[in-house]
Amino acid sequence: MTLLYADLPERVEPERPDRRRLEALAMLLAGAGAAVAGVGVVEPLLRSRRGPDDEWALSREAPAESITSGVERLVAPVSDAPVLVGPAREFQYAPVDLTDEASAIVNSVPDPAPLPGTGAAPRLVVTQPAPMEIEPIAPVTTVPPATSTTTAVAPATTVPSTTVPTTTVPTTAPTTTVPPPPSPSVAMQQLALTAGFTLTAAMSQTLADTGLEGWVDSQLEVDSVPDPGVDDALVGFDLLDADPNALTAAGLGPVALSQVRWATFVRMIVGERQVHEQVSGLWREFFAVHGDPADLVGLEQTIRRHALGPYVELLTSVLATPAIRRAYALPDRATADDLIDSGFVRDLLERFTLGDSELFDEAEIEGLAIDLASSTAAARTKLAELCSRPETAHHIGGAVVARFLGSPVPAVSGRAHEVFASSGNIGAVVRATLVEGLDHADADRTRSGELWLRAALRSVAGDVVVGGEWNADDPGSIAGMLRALGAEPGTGVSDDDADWETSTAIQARWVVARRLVGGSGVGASVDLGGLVPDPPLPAAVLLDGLFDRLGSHQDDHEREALLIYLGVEHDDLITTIDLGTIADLAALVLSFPRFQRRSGGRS
Amino acid sequence: MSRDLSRRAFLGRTVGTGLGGAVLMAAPALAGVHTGSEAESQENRISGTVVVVTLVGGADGLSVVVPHQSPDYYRLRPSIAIQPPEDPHGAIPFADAWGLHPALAPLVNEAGGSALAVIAGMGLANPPRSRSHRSSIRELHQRGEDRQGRGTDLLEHNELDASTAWWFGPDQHGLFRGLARGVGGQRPSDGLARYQDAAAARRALGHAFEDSESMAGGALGALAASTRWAAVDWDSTGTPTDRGYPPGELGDGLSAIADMVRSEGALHLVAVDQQGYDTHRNQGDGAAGVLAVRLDELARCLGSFWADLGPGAEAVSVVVVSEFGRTVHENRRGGTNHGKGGVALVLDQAVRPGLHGMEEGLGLALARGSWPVTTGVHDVLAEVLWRRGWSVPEMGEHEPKAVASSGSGGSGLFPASEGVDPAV
Repeated sequence: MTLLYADLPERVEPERPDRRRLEALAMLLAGAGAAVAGVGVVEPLLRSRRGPDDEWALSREAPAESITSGVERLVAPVSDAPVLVGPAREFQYAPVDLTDEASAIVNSVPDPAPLPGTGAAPRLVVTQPAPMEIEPIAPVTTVPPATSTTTAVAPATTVPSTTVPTTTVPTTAPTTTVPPPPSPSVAMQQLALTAGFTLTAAMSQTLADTGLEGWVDSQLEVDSVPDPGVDDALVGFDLLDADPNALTAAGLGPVALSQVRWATFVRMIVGERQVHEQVSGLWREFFAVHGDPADLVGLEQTIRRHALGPYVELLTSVLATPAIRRAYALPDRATADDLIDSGFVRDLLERFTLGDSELFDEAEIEGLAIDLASSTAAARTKLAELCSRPETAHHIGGAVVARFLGSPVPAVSGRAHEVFASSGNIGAVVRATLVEGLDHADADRTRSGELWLRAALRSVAGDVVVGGEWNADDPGSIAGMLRALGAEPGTGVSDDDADWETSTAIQARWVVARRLVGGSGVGASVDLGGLVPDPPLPAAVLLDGLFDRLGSHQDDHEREALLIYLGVEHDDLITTIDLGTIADLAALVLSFPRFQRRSGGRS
Repeated sequence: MSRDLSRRAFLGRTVGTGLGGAVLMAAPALAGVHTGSEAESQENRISGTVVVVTLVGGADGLSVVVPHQSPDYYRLRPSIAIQPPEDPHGAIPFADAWGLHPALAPLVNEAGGSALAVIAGMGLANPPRSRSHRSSIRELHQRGEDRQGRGTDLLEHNELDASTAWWFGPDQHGLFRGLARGVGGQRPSDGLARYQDAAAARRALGHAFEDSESMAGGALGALAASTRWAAVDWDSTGTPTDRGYPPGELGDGLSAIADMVRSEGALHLVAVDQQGYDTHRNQGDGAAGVLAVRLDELARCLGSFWADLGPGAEAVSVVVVSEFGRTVHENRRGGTNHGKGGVALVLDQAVRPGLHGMEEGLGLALARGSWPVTTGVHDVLAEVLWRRGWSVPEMGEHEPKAVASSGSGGSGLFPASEGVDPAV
């Protein structure tokens, strides 16, 4: 497999003629039987205007995700071949010696307009790619991270890793999806979808053995739930529980945060502790703040530790984290001249406890600021008082219900409020929500962006390579896709179904769907040829096969839509079909309304 | 109106933008949005583009428009007051005893004295008790929304397609709910460009979503926007930096808006935010500080935008608002807390230039340490929309009201001839 890059002296835009040379070369090699993974540029590369410094997004030292962004941007229109990914430093760069034939074809493309200051044509280089599936990189203790300045990482510290390892995660459910005996009941289906699971054979058996409520209880005992898929995938992710202060001292905050984000993704894909994941996700978005990476790692650790316990403990612990304290500029030791920020008090009341901005005014805010600043004990007492208010029970109970059910269900919400008011315990509220919700949950509710991506990966992708930098600026990466979908972790992602039915949300899925099946998602291997039966076949049969391969329900209306795309009738015989068309069809299925529902495709 | 008629009417209006079959397929979803000839006549009345810039965080009005002859102002702000015009970093003389923050010089220079109006004492007519950012922004952007989420959808009320509006920023922009129906967030692009046959993909998606109930409207907006913006010639006059925009989301957004305005087809409402106005600490004065940095970016962006539009500026109205103002007195951290009266700016070649919204007795108010809301922010927005032909029945206490003026010799932001009678 060949991965082509070109050194270009100036910024490359898709419409620039330089790109046509690269396209021509890619097509030449593809025509000669070479597997062309991508065509891109190395340096100075694509300029990204995402920051005030106008930094160059890609360089030879750039992470794989960044390079893939450039590759995908340039090659996607001409090739649907998978984009090869891997840490850039693992590539060996060497100039390309073009054959006369290749040169003639490439040069038949009109010369690019001279670029300012140079007039130089691209210089092509070939990279030797790393294997598609990269084994986890052993923890390294002597190589300082790119972001480190002067402090070398001492070996044998509590922070042993300097990189995020890469590993491969199967996107399919761990066990068969064939409905087993006992036949899953409607209640089982409801519970599985509500709790964030695919109802597998193993889960059906477990539910039958334990009863639905017993299964919920077992999920609430997080540590007792075996999770071998996650454990295997996260081997080498050794910074997940590292002390944030040590991370900061070693300059490893960004690496650790990348590990944390990847771990969240892995748990979403293959985790068996989905209830804990769902609730951790709720609080991650509930307490979302921007901050130093190491601080955000600490915030995540705190949230996961207290996610299912008493809310007052969660709140008190979260507010004590450096992430929150720095976000709100909370003083270490308040004095008369250093009062607590009124902005913090407003958020404490409106977001974290009472939930209604009409319940308090300026004077109460000022008074509470003084109370919170007077002493740690007084602050804890005040927080406990706030958590015991009925408005807080309503607000927090409602948040839990929204997380699992997506929209208010009066009967369930009322029960959740009661349970919170009497116990203050999040786990108890979750239990009430799931159990009471069995009769009320809409299993066909709209998927969140995160759940849509999971379903899409399970439907079209084989393995997904996880690891490396978690870079949401790269639209071709998993992180970038989540951002594009409005589901970037820690940014206050919505639990409201209506937010996933807007024009913006729908169009984002259309874009990501085509990107994903085009093979340009980082590490997402897509076997396009395997998505449709071998032609010749009548169009209707071929499309039925496509729906079947994608695990999506047969839908006459959506099949008609695919026929519209192909411009054929049901009975027309399809004799050949190219990979680009298959990718288009698969992307359309992932974009259609049925797939936006939780019951559509593979959950 | 029959279903067939609706389809014909809408198709007739959209073929020029290339929506074609995709919209035809999705036409049932348009019920209640487009109603034939009425829709056409309403849209024909609306012209130009209204750009709403929200200064998120609660911009300090008394630093933007400076009462530099008020002893109380300097008494209450010992370290953050903007100094009088004679100071090297003092206010820019603007109207009588009022000046503008010196960082606004690029805007003043570009707009000249004829296209810039400043509305002082601007704020929410019914602010939330807590004056929290979230609640206040919600009130600002979703005026009239009740607890069931039903609110004023200006696009729907004016029978405009969602593709005639856009918003920039990371969050779904709820401005009057109209933009929430449209696609936005970043520079618009054809979301279906990766397909081998994008037009066929639009037709397929239009067919698939036509009966999808809750998602039909969203899909239609996505299809329309995808088509509408596919042909925009981005950066045809240079990169944003080439055109003088400072780097950042505001500059990126405004430069893209300039390209969108120049493109064929209507762009009637667009919103963009600038973050960073919650200056509880280190607010600074005219020479340095957080606010000076923000206002400098704002002024350079707006100045570049105005210059970038060139003659096209005649068709554009810019209104700059914030969710609330800040306290008159500075706090112990060299900043200000959440207050009441703030400020709005209007950039429009037909605006009555100068200072608006002042009332008798402001001096007394300052002496008491408060700056009240004397002009509702929705009144300002309503006047600007009204000037461009919009019907705005549920804004500004349900009818556009003339913004009180001082220093301009008249009442209202615009001469009467510049607006369409809202009663029509």
